[in-house]
Amino acid sequence: MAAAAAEATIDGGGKMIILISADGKRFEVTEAVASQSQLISNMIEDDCTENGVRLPNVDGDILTMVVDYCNMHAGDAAADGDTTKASSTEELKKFDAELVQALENPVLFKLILAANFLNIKSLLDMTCQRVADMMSGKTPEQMRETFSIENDFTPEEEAAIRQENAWAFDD
Amino acid sequence: MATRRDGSRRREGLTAEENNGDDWLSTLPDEILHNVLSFLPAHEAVWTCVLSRRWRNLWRSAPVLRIRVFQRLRNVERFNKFVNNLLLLRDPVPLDELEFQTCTYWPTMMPRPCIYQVKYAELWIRHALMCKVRVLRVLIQTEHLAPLELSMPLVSKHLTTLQLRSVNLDNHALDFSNCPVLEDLQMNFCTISTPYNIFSQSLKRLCITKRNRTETNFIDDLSSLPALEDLELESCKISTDKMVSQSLKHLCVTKCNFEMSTHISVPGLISLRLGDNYGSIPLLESMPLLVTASVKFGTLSWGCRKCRYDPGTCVCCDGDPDGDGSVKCKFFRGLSNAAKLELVAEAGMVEHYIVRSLCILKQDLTWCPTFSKLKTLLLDGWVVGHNFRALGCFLQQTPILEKLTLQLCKGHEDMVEIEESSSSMGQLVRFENLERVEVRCLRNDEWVQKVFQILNTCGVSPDKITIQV
Repeated sequence: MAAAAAEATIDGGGKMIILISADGKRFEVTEAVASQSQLISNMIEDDCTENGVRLPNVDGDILTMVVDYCNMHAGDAAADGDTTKASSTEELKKFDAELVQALENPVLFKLILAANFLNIKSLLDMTCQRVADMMSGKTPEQMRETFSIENDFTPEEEAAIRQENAWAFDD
Repeated sequence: MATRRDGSRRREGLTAEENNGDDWLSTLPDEILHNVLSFLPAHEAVWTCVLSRRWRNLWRSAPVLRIRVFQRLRNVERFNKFVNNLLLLRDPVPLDELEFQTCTYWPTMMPRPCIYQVKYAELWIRHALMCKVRVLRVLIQTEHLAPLELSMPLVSKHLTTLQLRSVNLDNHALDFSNCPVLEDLQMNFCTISTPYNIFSQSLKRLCITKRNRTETNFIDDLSSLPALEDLELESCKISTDKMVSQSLKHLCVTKCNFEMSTHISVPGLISLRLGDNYGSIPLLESMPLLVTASVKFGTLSWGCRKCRYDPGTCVCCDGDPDGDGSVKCKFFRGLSNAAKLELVAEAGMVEHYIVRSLCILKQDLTWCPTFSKLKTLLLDGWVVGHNFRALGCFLQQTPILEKLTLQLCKGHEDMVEIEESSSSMGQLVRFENLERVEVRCLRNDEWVQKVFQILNTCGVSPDKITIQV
């Protein structure tokens, strides 16, 4: 599936560029795929992708996921409003759902940072949504437990904050 | 206060062990945590203030608020107090998006609770506009019709998307000229107090869905929306004789009641979808740029009223004997530039009238337009089943057709004429470019075999035909 999407863009995507991860892994992608990253898109505009794009704070395994994601989503923008893409929209949803479901720490954390650094808004939103889903429906105590957040308030301080925001807690 | 006190049934997520005890979340920059908070209902976002010092004030500057009614504030007064506090106590930073519901729950049998329910709604809207909100979603929850009345025009240089649910708008509120970047407008279950048009120079997408089909429609005239590209209407009453737009590219009309044969004049249209509408069948004027069209006639479409009550006497549909058919086949003419076309109709007592008004069944098909660009065609229901010869005539006008799908799912028992017409089929149709024929049916019975044989005699080799049961 991912391969098919990649081929389709190779046909129309034009120039290839090389992405190099922190641990030296190289990924060859089309400009159309890479420019979903606003960071790389800006670099392409400034003509500084000739010798490959070094991404010193993205590991190879994380970059693999990012490249897979970008390959799947290449052409999203171009095909805006094109009803013939309806079936592949289904595929995309499935791909995204599977990716998100599989996300657990520490991969989730690294992927958020990578999406933020590369400035890929849709991927950042997707991963942040995953974190929000993990928080939602929980009490503050359960949120702390889920994410190992240390409560550094004294009991008095915490009580005061709850009092101050009683309109939201409504105890 | 716990929504889930029993720790054993926590939602899936990381346990402390899987986290290795590291609080990675709190190490993320504010900007990302704001993004996380943006996906939470507003009350849960506020609750994060007690997590730790890191989280204490994060919610105050989150750019998105999704205000939902939640169990513990299922009381109108408490809920209103919550929203007022929330808006007042957050930092004075711009709002990217505000979505709010209103509380419908009323603990006692007090009269007219809906007034309290929306007591502050207009104030919240004004506040959001002051906070330079870009996306505003006002989702009034109600069983009554549109308890919130907007009677003043919205003024914002920032608003791009507006979604309104169960809001009543008067002619002042429908004037969006003071929102110069508004592009998206969705109205669900909204009403207007007087028949009036929506005014906006910038609006590109308009979606109107509503339950009450007897209400006045909003779209008598699209000329007040010169930038409109996308129009979606669902469950509306359409009582205008002309729908004209030079800018429209995508039109989707479903479950609507066409009170008359509306002339749809949208020369720039690229995609068209008409589905399950009832009442008259609209007349389509020329759409030279059309690429995809999907038309599904519900059982309650009756086509031309005259034909319905007095078949064979209608000048429009049956034509004057000397006419060239230019008025006869307006509907198909409009579709004749499509490259991809789906025609679906449910079987029913009215089919005869539809057929008549569509001019499929006429012996004289010389005026049937040529679908010179059509490559993909899906025909469903009676369009296939009822009269194969007519189908043949229709297909004859599709010289470059590559893919044909015939759905015989419903009502193909009625294909009474198939045998007698099969002989003439061969003479009429030569599918020269046809690469693939798909026949979808409930079971592979004798009718399907007949279709198969007929296609064979028309020069479609069996390896191009697939039958899906």
